[in-house]
Amino acid sequence: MIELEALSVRYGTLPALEGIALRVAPGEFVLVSGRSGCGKTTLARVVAGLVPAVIPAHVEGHVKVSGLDPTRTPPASLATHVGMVFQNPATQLFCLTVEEEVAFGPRNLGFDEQQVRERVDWALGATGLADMRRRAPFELSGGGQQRLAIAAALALRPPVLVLDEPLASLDREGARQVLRTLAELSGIHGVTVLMIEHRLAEAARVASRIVLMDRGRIVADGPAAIVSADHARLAELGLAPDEAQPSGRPHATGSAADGLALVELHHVSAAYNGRTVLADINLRLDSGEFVALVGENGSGKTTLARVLAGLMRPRSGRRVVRSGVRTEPGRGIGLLAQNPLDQLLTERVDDEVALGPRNWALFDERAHEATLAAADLGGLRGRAPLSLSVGQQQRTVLAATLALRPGLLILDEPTLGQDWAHLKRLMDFVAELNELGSTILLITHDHDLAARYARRQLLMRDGAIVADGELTELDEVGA
Amino acid sequence: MLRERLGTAGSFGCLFAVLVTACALGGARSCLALGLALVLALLFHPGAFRIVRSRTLWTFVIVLLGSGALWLGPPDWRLGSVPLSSSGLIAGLWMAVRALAIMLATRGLAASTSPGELAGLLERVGMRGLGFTVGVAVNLLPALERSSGRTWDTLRMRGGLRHRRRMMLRLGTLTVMSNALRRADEIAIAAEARGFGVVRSRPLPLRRGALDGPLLATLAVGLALAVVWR
Repeated sequence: MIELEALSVRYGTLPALEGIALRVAPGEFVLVSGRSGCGKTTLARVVAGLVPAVIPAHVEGHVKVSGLDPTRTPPASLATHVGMVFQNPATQLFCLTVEEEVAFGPRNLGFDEQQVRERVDWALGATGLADMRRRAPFELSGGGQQRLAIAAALALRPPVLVLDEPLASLDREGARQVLRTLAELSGIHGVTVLMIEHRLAEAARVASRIVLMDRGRIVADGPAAIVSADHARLAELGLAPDEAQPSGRPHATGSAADGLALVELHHVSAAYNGRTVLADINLRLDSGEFVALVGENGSGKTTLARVLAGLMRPRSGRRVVRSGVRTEPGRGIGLLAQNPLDQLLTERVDDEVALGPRNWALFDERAHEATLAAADLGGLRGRAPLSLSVGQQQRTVLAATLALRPGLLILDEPTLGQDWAHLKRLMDFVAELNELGSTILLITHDHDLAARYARRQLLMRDGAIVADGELTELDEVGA
Repeated sequence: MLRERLGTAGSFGCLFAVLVTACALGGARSCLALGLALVLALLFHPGAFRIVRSRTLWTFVIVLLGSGALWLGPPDWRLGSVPLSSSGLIAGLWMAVRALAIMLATRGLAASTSPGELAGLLERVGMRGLGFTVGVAVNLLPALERSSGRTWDTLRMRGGLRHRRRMMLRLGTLTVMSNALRRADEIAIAAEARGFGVVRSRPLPLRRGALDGPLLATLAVGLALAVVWR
């Protein structure tokens, strides 16, 4: 179904893939993983026909998908053979209703309305969206949007489905829904699935085979149960914690907490376009705390972060920052938002990280180098941020936020596109800042990450904080 | 509800009528374009009024007024030491009125019609490929608003317009523009990945509304009168 032989890809002079050989049989569910920037997304784009047709690159080698060469077939003609689901579902949805979104592809293929309806019904049924057909795509949760993106690709009935990190921004339940859907498509409908993903532990349960990549090459390929059990190899590739290292909270013990409130919210409510997103929030964050904020997609976590950061005014209630603490966004309270592309302003990684300190006239060469080193950006400092992988972009934005050494650092989903090794390195640096007195609020769907670094956890549901306490207490309420 | 009785052609007709009125009528008469946009939005696209909450919109309006007063027409009064022109300020005001009318109508179309429907509409009149392009362009306005909001947040996180105002403004503007263009690219790639192509695209079905015919006829008569009046 998919045949790659001696496949090499270069973007300009930068090699992305080297000598890739991979054969995927019909109906197989293959999970491709590797550290960020290792070439996984390029592999997916070649198979889906986007490289080099849409994204210019130099491609060598033999590529066959469903008997066609995707490097020589226009993407529109390839659509019935390969369906592609991109990392961020919001970027691929543009119709006004769920039903229209799914019908768009079949209509392009010239089917009559009866056939279009049949395909839409099938795709919505296969992805569990049949009851949501009249809803607007942007009203769906992150998991719902991801399933809609899958349904839109499936309606073309492609024998091959390629997904680039479909779980990246999903909560546990959203990820479960998407994986269940993919397992059914592969197992029941015989669709060949090629999925790029960092969340190995969850995805390995449904995949039949795992391919691991490093620096543009395939370094492991075998049955999912065997590859996922090779913890030493996974740790070596930075995809899982090293079991030889002690587990638990390596740095963030919360010992720097001084018991003084840094920022408090009193009966805070907030709304977007008249829709209440936060309802009567009372919250106190003390200096030196390391707090995790968890909750389903759409529960109000990001809005809470924006209110805390001073980027959004509450509709009612008060935000109180301790006297003497800087209240300016960025310096007193830093926020790393979810999508790195919205936060990259300059043409070089180096300039991006230095932008805030220079603007505040606080630039210090040693601190700058330390920030670049902590984010493992030393080798990328001369690169254009937009040319980096999503994981590398996320590290650049995080470094730019950290560069101002804010008293309260809010990290909204720092796991996006990150392999475990880079994530750990960054989080260890964040934990060091915490040890030095910075307060950290970590918003994440990754409960393991929260458990490893945070002492206190908040659980949000429907715009309210429904639990606030230690991890064990939250486990009892089903966080 | 009235908006549910308006189809693709009627929705597109609303934008077309506002565009023609705004282009055809100058000076104080451009208020007619804004009036038409307000009435149509009120009747058919109330969601379009969300645009009044947009910081981008009001920044744009202030820029138009300010640049008119500074650079259009002879200076005849001073604000502190800055020479300003009242005729330039008024010219800027009419430009802002036209811009408001067009943005309101564009927002209404973006909220009611998908790029696929516009493709279906314009391909029926022989404009193969143009419909989807127009749909993507219409979709860019809300994308531009969202992008400018997020970029402004990022600028504030890096210290805002503190020391390097000109550079920060330039970086912010370029980021907003490049993000909007990227959004257009993403829609085009997603559409292509789902079989859309100028050569092989088919006439997509249109939403038909009971008010399409009467509204288009009324707008056509109104436009003809406006052109004659001009």
